[in-house]
Amino acid sequence: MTSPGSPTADNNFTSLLESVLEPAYRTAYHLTRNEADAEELVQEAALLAYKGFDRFELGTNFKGWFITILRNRFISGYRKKKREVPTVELEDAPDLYMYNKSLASGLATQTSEPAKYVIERLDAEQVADALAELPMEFREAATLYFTQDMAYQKIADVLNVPVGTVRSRLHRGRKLLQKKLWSLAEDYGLVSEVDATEDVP
Amino acid sequence: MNETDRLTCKETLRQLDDYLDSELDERQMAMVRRHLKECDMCGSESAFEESVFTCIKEKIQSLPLPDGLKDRVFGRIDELRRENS
Repeated sequence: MTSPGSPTADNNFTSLLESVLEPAYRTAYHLTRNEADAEELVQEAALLAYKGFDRFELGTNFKGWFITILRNRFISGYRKKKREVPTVELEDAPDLYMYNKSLASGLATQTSEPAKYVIERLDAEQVADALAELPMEFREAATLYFTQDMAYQKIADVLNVPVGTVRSRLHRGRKLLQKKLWSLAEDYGLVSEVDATEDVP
Repeated sequence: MNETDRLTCKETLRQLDDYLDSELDERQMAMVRRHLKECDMCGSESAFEESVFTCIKEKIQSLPLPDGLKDRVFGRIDELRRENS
């Protein structure tokens, strides 16, 4: 425990915050889907963290602590303030969605790395749009997973849910994300469309 | 590891995400690893899934910190410090 305002505490806080600013901004951006809101969210979280730094135990996981503050601020502020962007209620996607689509479309015979072929040709904004279209509970878990490289338990700590819930949300969220990315790739002509009736099991 | 530790393709697929994220215990990791080594189809599916997750991570993590954000963050903290001193 350390009190904010003392030179040592301020130095500790500055160095810890600096080390997590970039990944924290990525999380904020994928939660808010807006640069200005993401910047504001990071700044507000930083101020809250500074004020509450006496509750942080040095030597423990600062990134997890800070991302929890940021996520809670997002929940209490931005989600209430802004009308929720309607998410596309996708039905459950089957397992191995892109794998089976790449086989059915013939892509797997055209390139040795079909997943890389598709995703590298989509720009970062398109991938971010696909992530943003997931239902919020899947989107939050997937955002922490993809932006922070967090273990399931750490994600569970941030979201304050059991680890089994994180496992299930990530599993379903990533399948839906594959479906959305493949659909984008079809829209942009990166892959040939496969008849919907051939949807993989 | 004995024969009872062998997984079916279906069991392997069910644990694939957790395996790729190293979220299984040591014994389960070994069982999935063994199946993937012995089954070409599951091995190929696993390599594809791993590639999907890696590519999405790379794309999402390519977002840079906006110019000046670091200064703005620490500027606001300095303001707060001054107000409190």
